[in-house]
Amino acid sequence: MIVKVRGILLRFTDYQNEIEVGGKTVRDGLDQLTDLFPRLREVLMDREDTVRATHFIALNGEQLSEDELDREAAEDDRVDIVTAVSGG
Amino acid sequence: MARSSSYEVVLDASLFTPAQMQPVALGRLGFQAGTRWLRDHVASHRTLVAQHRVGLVLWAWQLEYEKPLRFEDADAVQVDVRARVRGPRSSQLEVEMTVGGPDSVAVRSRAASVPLRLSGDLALSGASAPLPKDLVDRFHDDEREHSAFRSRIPALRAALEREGEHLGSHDSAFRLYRHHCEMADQWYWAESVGFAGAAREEFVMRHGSRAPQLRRALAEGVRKVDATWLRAGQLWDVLAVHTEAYLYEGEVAFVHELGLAEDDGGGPCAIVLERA
Repeated sequence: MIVKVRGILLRFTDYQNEIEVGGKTVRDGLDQLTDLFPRLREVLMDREDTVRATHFIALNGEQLSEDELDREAAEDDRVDIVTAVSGG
Repeated sequence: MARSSSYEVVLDASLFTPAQMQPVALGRLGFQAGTRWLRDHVASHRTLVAQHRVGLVLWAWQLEYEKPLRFEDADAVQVDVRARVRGPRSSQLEVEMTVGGPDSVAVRSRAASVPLRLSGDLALSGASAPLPKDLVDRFHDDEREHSAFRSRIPALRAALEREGEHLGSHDSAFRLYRHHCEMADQWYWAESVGFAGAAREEFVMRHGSRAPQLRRALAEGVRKVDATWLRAGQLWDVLAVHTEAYLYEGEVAFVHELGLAEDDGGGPCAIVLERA
């Protein structure tokens, strides 16, 4: 699957905005992504290793809840990670 | 008594069009003014973020030009700023700024921000939440307003669509780069006012030959700007601007809707309404 990263999250992926990862599900893909970029894991996940409520995950444009991250994702599927809003 | 901060800003030519101070420059001045008021009377912006885990996101802005003020009119202007918390749950911060010219107030702006409770991650991500009580307590009684601030945009836009003479529409696109963004790599709100202004100029370039009132709107500048932000544009996003122009009650009005060029179903990022 292709994971697309935007905005403030780019600094945690060394400014790669489209990253190809493997895995059978969206959760597998996120695990691979955060293994590649451990600082992104600190930002994206809370202590229980669930996605913080302040970030959204979408599969081909459809926003997924935490429970839906086990949805299957194929090689050409697109996963978006979006920070809802940041405060400065 | 509601507290104010007042200070002088020396004027340079970059702040102006031939006709007036630039809206983007006034946005920057207004943001700086609000930040200064907070530092003077409540807590510095840095302290809010770093210690209180409170961020502020602008959601509505009003700008009104009251008197002509051009570069040749003054060496400096006087900025006066006041702020108050608004809403029954203290869920808004309103900042009012006036820019005083040689004789009287030349420009007024009013900005309403929504406080965020920051999650504590390095991305400064957060969710909207009332201002914490220990911060609300630092506002005087007359700096707390129970009623919430309301954007004028829905009513203005409805009136334009219902009663205005439609002059045409235009679409343009742009990409957000770092110099358009603030610290968190999301657009700095004042820059989005500039993107709307650019869309207006494109519209006038394309349609001005058949509509002289459009060219006048460019020559004389805008008189009022209302804007609302619904979600953030982010670094490297490609954004589309859809512009509709109207003639309404003798004035030209432009409605700009800014959103992701690749529609994700999340709706517009911002709406900017300019009246000339």
